[in-house]
Amino acid sequence: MYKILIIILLMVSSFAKASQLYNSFSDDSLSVQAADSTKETLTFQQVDSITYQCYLVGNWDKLINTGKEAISQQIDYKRLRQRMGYAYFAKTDYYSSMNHYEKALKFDKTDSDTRLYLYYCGLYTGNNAYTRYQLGKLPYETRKNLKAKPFKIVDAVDAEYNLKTNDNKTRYDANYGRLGVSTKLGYRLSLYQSVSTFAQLVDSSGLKQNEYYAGLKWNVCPKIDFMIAYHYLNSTIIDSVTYRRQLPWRGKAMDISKDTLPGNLFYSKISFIVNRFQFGLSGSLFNYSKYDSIKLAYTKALTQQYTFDAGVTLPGKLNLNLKSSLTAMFDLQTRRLIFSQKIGALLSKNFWLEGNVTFGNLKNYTEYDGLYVFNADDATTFKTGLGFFWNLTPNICFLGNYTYNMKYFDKNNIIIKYNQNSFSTGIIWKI
Amino acid sequence: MENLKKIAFILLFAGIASLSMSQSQSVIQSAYSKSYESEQAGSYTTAINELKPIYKADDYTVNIRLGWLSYLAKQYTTAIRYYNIAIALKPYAIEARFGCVKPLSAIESWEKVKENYLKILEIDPQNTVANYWLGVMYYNAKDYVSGLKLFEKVVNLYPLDYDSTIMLAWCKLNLSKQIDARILFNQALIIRPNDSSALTGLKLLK
Repeated sequence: MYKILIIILLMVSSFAKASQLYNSFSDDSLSVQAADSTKETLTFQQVDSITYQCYLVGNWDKLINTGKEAISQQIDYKRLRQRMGYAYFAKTDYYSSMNHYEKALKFDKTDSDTRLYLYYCGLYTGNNAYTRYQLGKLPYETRKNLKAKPFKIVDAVDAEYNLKTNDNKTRYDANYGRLGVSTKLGYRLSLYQSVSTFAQLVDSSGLKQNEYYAGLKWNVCPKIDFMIAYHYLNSTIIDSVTYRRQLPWRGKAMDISKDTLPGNLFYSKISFIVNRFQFGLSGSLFNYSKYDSIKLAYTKALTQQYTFDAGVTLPGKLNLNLKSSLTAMFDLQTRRLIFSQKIGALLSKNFWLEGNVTFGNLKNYTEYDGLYVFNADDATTFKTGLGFFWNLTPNICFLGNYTYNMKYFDKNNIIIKYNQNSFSTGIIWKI
Repeated sequence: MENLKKIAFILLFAGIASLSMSQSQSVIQSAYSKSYESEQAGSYTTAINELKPIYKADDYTVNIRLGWLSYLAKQYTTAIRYYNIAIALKPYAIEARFGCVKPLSAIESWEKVKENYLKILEIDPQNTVANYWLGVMYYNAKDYVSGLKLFEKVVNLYPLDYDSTIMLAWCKLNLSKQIDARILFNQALIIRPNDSSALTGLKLLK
């Protein structure tokens, strides 16, 4: 009995020792021996030497592949990420470059070279907010060399003219003009203001609308923006006939031939960027005057809009960008959904082409951060268009756009549909 | 007779266990001894390989030793991983954190270096090495206010320490505290006569 026990004990002891020795080899995750003999095991010195050599001779593909392999073998450090970032930058893959420089920043937040390339990555991916954020983190001397200023009262000016034509005999051509000014209030704060005017003859009435827009954008951090905006719309309807109308802000009914109808839009948005992906959540409240055909008077009304949008920029030199947005609109009586899809591509170094399509009833719909409000009486039910941005010089950008709209109006309970063609042209001057 | 058998069995078992343990201890001691010899000879990879057979993931000593040898062998990321295991095994041992700072500095992982110094100061707030080097990091990042606090602490503990006195003087100068800076630069010249850094500082104050 004891013999058996001793043998078992000795066997257990030997097994434990063997197991301990085995574990010291096989469980050592830090062992330089790779489990997979077919894969080359890299050392820190090899990685550093190979990637540095590739960096010096500009062998970007080998640098990237070695770097990827090193990272998969848990060899990861600042210089490697900087070299990989630079390799992607040289290959004009700015999103991948940004990704590696951001990893380099995690090792050393004070490295101004990393910050500088993050600034350029932001610049070349068209992410102004990100660019400004990184610019603000650069050393004073670098900012001075880049001629960067935290405050600039007029950073850019833009002008736009739009002509709308249609195939309905009661609707004349409409004209829209807009002038905008962008102000830098700091590296993380910017203000955009715009004034615009719209004019159209409809039946026997003339419609004129003057607008003011102000949007304040704050970069909470490089990848999160917060925005608030206010849009004032002053619509004037001049009738050829004088009507007796009850205006909500004048108290009593009076004979008038000119109605002035103010509207106020309050907008806010939060945007997130996760490398190639962009997400946004926005909400707006539009307070306006609505004509009640039963009461024969104007009453105040409110439209709420909530939008979720998501976009992605695909790899490749075209920088193909896809952006979808889903909007829920809440009026007094109706709830409706609007879906919008955009696609854009960088056809040449200076030429960006963009197409869009929007489905749904766009009555009081707002887009471009509350800058445009579709508050015409004739609602749009579908629109699609094509636009371009052409950088004539580094400071001047010329833009053009064509949009086709399907619209309708209610004439004595009869729905009349018509088509509208809209042509826009404009210029952005970066001062 | 039965009791005698039991005693004999216990004695036999204890003898085997003791023999096995002493053999195991001598194997470990011999591995360390060979590893030190190889380190002295500058053969760091051999020194690492001597310790491999006795490696245990839950052994603080072997991890810290492999961390140090990997650092000497310029295997910085491997060294960091060994040191991190040692830190996890003895979270309040500042030795492993000081060790880890070396490979982290070699790969310029300054955020992690800072993290380790802050943790050391959390455990040992008066540690002059951590106070000084964290102060240097703040100074290099142009955070003179944070640097000043740390250098001041070292100077109060060691008023004749040249390195912290001169760094404190430069912090004061960068924070436009000219009177304090002048006193400290002059003090640095007492500790180390004709010191070029102190003379440069005094020249800037004129």
